[in-house]
Amino acid sequence: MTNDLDEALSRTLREHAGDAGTPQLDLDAVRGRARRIRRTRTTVVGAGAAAVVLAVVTPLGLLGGGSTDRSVDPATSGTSSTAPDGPGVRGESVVIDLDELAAGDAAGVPYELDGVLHLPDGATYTVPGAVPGPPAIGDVVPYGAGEWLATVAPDGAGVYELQHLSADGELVETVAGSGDGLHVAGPMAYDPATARVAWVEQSLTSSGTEAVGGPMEVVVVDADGDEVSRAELTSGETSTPIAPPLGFRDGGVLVSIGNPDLSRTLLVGSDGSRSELALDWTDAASPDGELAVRTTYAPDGNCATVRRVDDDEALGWSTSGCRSYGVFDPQSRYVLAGPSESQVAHGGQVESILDAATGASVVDLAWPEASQTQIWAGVWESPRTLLVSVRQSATGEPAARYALVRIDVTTGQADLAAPIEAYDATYDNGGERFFLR
Amino acid sequence: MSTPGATVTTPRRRTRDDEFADYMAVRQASLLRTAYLLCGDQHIAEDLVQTTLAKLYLAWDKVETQASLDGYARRILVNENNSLWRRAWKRRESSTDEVPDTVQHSDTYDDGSAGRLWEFVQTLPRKQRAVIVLRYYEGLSESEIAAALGISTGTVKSQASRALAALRDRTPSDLSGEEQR
Repeated sequence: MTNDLDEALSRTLREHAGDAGTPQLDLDAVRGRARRIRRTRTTVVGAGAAAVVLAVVTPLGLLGGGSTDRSVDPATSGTSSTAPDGPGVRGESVVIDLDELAAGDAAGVPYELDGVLHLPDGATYTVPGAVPGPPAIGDVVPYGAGEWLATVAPDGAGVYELQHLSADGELVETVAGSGDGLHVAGPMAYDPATARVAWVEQSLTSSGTEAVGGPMEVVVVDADGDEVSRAELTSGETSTPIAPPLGFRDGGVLVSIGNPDLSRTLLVGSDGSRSELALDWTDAASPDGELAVRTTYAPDGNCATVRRVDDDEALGWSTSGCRSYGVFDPQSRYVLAGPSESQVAHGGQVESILDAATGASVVDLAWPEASQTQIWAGVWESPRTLLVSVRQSATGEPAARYALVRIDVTTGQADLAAPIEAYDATYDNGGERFFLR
Repeated sequence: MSTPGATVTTPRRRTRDDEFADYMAVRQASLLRTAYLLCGDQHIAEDLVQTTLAKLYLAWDKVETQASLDGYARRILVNENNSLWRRAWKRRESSTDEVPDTVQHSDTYDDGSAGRLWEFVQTLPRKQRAVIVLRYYEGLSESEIAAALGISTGTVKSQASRALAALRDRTPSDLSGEEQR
């Protein structure tokens, strides 16, 4: 009888669970591991200085107002005529099989591969001093007429400077950096409606061997590079908080400040005013300013919740089970979901594309059963196509291949947005190799 | 008396480390047993538990109630185990028909079938094995397993069905339900 096997399994597992041994962990050991994890996250997502305690990369898809398709020159960008009317396929599984995917168009957004920034028109920028493994680029946004602003941490230490790159991928100037006693947060915000760019910079002072953050300011410049506003965010923090700009809203910049003692979400006006929108950290906000992702863990199994951005922060929706949400598409119709501990809003792994209005699944990502596959949350290339970074190997094989894969939400089709990269131990950090920016 | 609108500091925030230490003392043995069943290696299991607790520690202030801690910890544990292959120096597990070396389990009442069944469990693909452990050791429902693994209940059912079919093929007929000749 099947019940015999059920009972045998229960009995066998109970018996062998006793072979696990006696746990010997103490709090210090766990806290030490936690510190290492935090440092790794900081390095991998490239957000902030050594004392930074939370790490966030804000996808450009979060930026405020209209289309944020970065493949389009900001000077000529507008609403995509190919945009779907609403969420397309429903509950479809898209199988990511690197042996089966056809080559598609080249990636329409910037990405970093092995320390080289690849821009959409084919230009490249080799980051001086980049080390194999961690990304050297924090974020890249359009700037002026076909040029770019990039946050760059050449040594992989997570201390960023802001660089102005030409359309050809040449370094024009360092806008803010350690030479000025400044570092900038990895993520930036870009408003396609006005071509303005916002970043957060912080003055550095030295304390022993570590750089300690001073006052933080959010800076907004226009397409000509003229400073539109500069407003102080914080001062006197005992540790360096992370303050990624989430996007533009109501003429101001939405900023989420992460700090172990005090997290909050602010709207910083162009006049320097600061409105506190929430006494909490916001993982992501939709470009239309309607929805925000806040992560909590409730006894009913709900984890992250998607809330309305209004006075009472009404619950937009949540789903059963623990998942993390983030990375809204440019038109606020889709949002990505991933494992709860993976922080999909911060570049973590992605499992599904959901209807941003309801949380219903639109596309579930899948892969061949005989493979080991990881898919990292990427960047919306257009209102209907998402780019993701994939690492895939045959089951049991350590040598993985890496790819940039495009997923069309409306058709449920996938193709390659860059040639597949073969395994190379030099660059294998156990994670992704294509870093979408 | 609190003032409306004032920030309220919860007791847990004041005693974060104490509370976490209490939770750790109570739950780490259970986590270690589950980890061992998932990976089949004592040292890897200890490492999994340490990473799980470290990630739980980092998220401690985000977890609203004690009741949701176990589920969240379990989710981290399972995902950490699933991610092990990424770290080549820790990787030992793969889907294979080969029976791996294991800790020698001694049970004087075992006629040998339990030992063989355990060996076969260890040859299951990782997700199927996780489903089996969560169902038959943790006693979770299909929906709870789905939440822990981040998959649909339909996938839980299909993974369990495949795992049981594979085990039936390999285990003695008196356990698998086959007709005795």
